[in-house]
Amino acid sequence: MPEKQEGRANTTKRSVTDAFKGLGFSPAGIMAMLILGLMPVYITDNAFLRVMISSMMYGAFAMAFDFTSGFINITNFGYSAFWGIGAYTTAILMMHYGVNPWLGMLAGFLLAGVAGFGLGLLTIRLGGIFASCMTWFLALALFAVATNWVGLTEGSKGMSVDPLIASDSYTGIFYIMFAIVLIVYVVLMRVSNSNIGIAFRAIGQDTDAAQAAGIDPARYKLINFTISCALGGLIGAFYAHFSGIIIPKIFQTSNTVEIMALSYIGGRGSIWGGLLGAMLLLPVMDYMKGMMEWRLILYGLFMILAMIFYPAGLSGLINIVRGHIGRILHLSGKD
Amino acid sequence: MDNIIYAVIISVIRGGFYSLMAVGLSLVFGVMNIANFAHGEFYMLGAYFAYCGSVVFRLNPFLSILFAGAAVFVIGVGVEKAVFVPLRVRSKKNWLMNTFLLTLGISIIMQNLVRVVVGNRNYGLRRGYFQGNMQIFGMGISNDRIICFLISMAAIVGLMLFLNRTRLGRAIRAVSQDATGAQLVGINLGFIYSFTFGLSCALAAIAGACLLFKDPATPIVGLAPLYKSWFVLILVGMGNVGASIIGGIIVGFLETLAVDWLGSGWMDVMSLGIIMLMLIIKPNGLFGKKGVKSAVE
Amino acid sequence: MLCRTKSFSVGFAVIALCALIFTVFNTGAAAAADAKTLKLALIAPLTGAAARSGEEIRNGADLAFSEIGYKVGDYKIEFVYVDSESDAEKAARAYERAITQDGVVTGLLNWHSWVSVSCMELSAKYKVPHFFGFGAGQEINDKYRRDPEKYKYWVGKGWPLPSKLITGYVETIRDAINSGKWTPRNKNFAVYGVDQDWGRMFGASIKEAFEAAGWTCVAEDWVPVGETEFYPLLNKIKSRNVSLIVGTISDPPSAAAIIKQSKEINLPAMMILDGLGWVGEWYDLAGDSANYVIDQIPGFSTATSKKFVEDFKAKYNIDPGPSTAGMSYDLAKFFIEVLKTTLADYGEITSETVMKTAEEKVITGKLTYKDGVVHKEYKYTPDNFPDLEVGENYYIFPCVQYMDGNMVSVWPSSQKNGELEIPDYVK
Repeated sequence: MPEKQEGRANTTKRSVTDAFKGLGFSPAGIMAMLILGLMPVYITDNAFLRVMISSMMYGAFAMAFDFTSGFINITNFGYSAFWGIGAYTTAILMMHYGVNPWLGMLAGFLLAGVAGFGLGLLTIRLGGIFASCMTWFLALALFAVATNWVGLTEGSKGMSVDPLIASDSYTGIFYIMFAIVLIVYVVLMRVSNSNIGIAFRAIGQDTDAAQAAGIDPARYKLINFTISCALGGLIGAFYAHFSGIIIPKIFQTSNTVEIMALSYIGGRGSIWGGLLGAMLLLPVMDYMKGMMEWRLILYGLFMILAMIFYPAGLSGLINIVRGHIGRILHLSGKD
Repeated sequence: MDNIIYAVIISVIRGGFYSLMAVGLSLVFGVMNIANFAHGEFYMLGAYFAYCGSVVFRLNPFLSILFAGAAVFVIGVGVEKAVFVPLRVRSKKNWLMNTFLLTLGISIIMQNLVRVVVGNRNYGLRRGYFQGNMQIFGMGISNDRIICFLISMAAIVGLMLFLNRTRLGRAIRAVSQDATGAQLVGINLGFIYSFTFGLSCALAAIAGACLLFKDPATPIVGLAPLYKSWFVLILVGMGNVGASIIGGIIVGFLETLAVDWLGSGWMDVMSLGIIMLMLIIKPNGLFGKKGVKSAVE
Repeated sequence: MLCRTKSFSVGFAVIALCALIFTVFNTGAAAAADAKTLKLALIAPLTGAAARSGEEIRNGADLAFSEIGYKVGDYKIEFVYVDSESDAEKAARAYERAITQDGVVTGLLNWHSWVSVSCMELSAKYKVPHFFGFGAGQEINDKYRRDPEKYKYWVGKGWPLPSKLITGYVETIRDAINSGKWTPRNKNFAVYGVDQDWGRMFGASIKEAFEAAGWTCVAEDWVPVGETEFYPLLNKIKSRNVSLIVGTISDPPSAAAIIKQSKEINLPAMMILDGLGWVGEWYDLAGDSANYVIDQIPGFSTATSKKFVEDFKAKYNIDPGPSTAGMSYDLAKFFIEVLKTTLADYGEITSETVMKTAEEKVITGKLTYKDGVVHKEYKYTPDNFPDLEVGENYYIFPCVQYMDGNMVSVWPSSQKNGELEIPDYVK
């Protein structure tokens, strides 16, 4: 009897883990999310919470960015455009038409998705650096439009945006961002672990071979761009309310570079690598601000060294550490 | 009518400078398969060296432009040895995308290093290189503009002759078409790569040095030319050095048109709109050669 | 076995994260203030595209404070530099850290308007008064007006709305015409400006002002930041037959480029360009092409300001620009006065007492700063707050005309040291 009971307990335990696994969480992932999610409880310093919110935001961007660059192997060098589209959509709806910011964020999400679909159409025949340039040019063109269409965006003087919730504490805003991170993570993991994800990887490795195997690259490219850009729009919409003022500079290339660096350093094709990269790098970079230019020089050096010596990024590193630990434990278990 | 001719002349000159940048970019992309986003930084260095040559050493304009090219050639070779050689040893897969981020890293480092070393002051030429104006159809154009345009055209033509007529140039072209094959016939790949990268940097530096009369040297002066040279490169396609002259002029002309019709702010929208349209219709670029580096997968 | 592996890596992750958090916290805690050290936040774009302005602002303030040995009473003063990186969100992040972790009591200066808007929120939240940020934008006034009680902690803008500053140009031109010195061919003018908050605001207000003075605007153009190629634009303006072109360009290379190129294509128009003299090396950039161009910029003409220029050059090896280094020096000295007054009145310097001084003396105009190196008097009044009082005896940018490497002051009459010259090509 006791044996049977233990068996049942095991099954329930397993089904819970399975459920989490289905959502894309490993036990380590759950722990990390718990540590992150409970931050407002054990951290009282507002400035640090703010840094964490920003890090999560950049992490979420990096994850959504990785969904394109790490899977179908196209670097969306115009990713800041979707950040901008999301931000300006909710800002214009709220400040000009009085639309509820939550609906505004939804609209930002949808509009960025539509724009992403459009970008997917534009890049459908292109590959490699040409596709990247296409996305980049789109962002640059939108930058110029946002600057010059003053009637809509208020141009370079900037547009004040009211916060999502009026509160002096960051707890509420932290959990909103945390929820967005969870949504982004779960959506991306679900999709990438499904058949669609396998098709993405196949296209990313060799488009011709994938096509020969009966995968329609165009269709999957469109799906990929739409999802990745829509999520970018959602995060961008959050940014508008979080930052309090937006200017057309959101569209500028350096924003894409920042996201791209985080996602590459985090590890391509892992999804969670970008989040980890942001959570580690952003606070560190913030605390090095006193070093002025040297901080950026170190940052550039780090990017170069990472690309030369560790192109698999943090996620690759952690996977190796995990493998080593596993082997050691396995050996000791045998003894 | 005079006005139209004048507009054409100023767009040709404007575009000519973009061409020189684009040629270097095209060369490095064709031979080494590197998407160089640090190209603007070598332009920036060129501007600083030309200032140094012309104001500190009091060289004549031609010599200071040459000095800038030579100095940046050396720096370019150094960067190639320090960064791309180790990467080439290690990275086979995803080479292009790795170099993408790598060059962005180089660009960040160089911009900030320059800021640390020489500070934030703007270094410009008070009177330009060549004083005076020319009159064309009753409208003025500065001598600087004409002479520097001619210098950059000469640099492009020189490069074309070098690539077609010399042994080293032919070796570079061979590597760009088939690196493994070139290695088999005894071409030293490492040397070719370093030389090509240095050459490309020197071209960017010459562009920066030429334009010093108009764009004072600052740490961020290379950004705009970098963007423009990518516009030109994508417009004309890869592997066609001569065509980038035409590409530069087209971009220059589109921008002039945009300023006339819509206002300066819409320049990028105009030129990018056309380039994007071109990418959709003819993904290999206006003059792209089939099989060199194709846009379509 | 697999299970144990997982839990091990879970543990590893937890330890790593905790370690990180603690390290980060300890750095913050180590910087906790000792009682008699007064920490001040100084916001400036120290890295990034606007680093030049940031450097001058920092140096201006540094010079002012080193003159008093970084001491007010028995307080030792220490700056906490908040690098805005020209980005609203990053600036706010750094500013909040300066407040909660470094424990700044109050702060001063800033450059961009959008950074002011996002940092205003924080100075209101923590009730840390911040003085004299440069951002000139309407957004700041609007935000203050929406809730003056809340946003009063952003104490004053160091730079008034552009519309208040431009009268000099209109009057200079009108005087030249009325006195018969200049008979323009026609009354057409063109407006241009750099596409930034400053350029747009300036352009809009000066266009309005000249139209009100009977001129007709025939061309309007906004150039991207950093553009140095103006042949097409100038050619367009030339073909519209204008006798006056007015505008602003804030980055010196662009400003020098438009001046040089207007001379190259023989644009027969009087040129107003606001912003060339913002950096000390303007003559090295524009040379004699700048002759006859009208700008509004305070020259360093008094004895104190000449001394300032010398001190500044000796210490930082860079020519100070009046509206960056000069004004940040003045405003930092004004700020020192605020601190001294606070100490005299309340015996201690805390956020509350500084704010009290600000409310009772600065906003009401009782405490002003006179005889700065740039302006005669920096004064706020309840009516115009958060803008400074603008006028001949207060804050004013005199109109200057560049001539052979010098700035000749031509307006207002009290600060005149030369006559406006009209070049032959506009007659």
